[in-house]
Amino acid sequence: MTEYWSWWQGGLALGGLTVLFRLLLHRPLGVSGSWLKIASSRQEWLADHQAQQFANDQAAVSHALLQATLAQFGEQALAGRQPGSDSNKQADPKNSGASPASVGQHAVFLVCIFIGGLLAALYTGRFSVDLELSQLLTSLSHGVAQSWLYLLFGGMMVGFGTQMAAGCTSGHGLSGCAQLSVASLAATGIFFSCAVFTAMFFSLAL
Amino acid sequence: MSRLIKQYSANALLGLLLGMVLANIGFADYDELHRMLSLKDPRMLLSFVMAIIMAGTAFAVFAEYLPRQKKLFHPGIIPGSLLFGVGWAVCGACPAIVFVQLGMGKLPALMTLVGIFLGVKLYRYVHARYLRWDTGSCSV
Repeated sequence: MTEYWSWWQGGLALGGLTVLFRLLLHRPLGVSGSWLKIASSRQEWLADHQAQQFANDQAAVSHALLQATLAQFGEQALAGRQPGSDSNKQADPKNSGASPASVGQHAVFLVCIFIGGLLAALYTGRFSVDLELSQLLTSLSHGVAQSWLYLLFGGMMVGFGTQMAAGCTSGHGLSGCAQLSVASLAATGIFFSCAVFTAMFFSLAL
Repeated sequence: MSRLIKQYSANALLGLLLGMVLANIGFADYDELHRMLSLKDPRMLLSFVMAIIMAGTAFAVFAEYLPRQKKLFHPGIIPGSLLFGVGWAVCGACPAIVFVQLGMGKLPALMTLVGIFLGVKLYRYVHARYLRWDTGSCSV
């Protein structure tokens, strides 16, 4: 098993990645936003589907109104316009605002984090299928089964908290702090202090 | 079509690199993380600070090519960060780290994954039903 990177190697890699993310994807590095996209993918699909249905219905209504206008006032009332031209535009899926690809891109990003972790673990000899995350956690929770409940509870706090704060260690901690965003500096200071206090409390409890 | 392939490829490449970098620094190691949070080993904290300084310098020097996208200071920042901080220390994972832990073969991270998913879902419900402030998360 190889050693972890030194602080400056890790800093260079993480800092470079933060910049590369912005250059290639034109958005700040952030993972909680990808979670939100995945968790709300069904609702987004339903909203897009309903918008599409509405657009199709609206096209039929617009077409009928246009025909009625032509019948009542003649073609001079619509000089330069073709019957149904607007409704065709609205019915075009390209104009519906649907963006299913973005959910797919976020999913690919998250899956590739998993693959990256797997490749790194295989390369460094750290890969091992374990039912125990850490002996420290098992001691804290008085058993492996209880530790799984701790993880579920902790995960819920992470999921709820990062969505409420609209960012996590990458979004607020790396991207936000690098841009000197006041919200991100405050968020990072708070979540880091809380994590330190909690870890200190665990150390005392052992 | 080619633009879409480029975007997918960029997401895949950056995901791979992020997973590798986080695994090699040690952020996915519960014990290593607790050594950092208990202030017993500053190595990972220094990496984090150096990354912020490096990225901040790049954003300042190349401001023309890397436009700022600042986060909103909304009412959820403080309580959300408090919850996240405690949760991070309890489960040893943030939304990216959980995937790295799974990649390293740590099966308990599945519970963290389920927990994060439930937490995100629960917040969506609570936000839509009671809170409704603009978190700016669409721009994340």
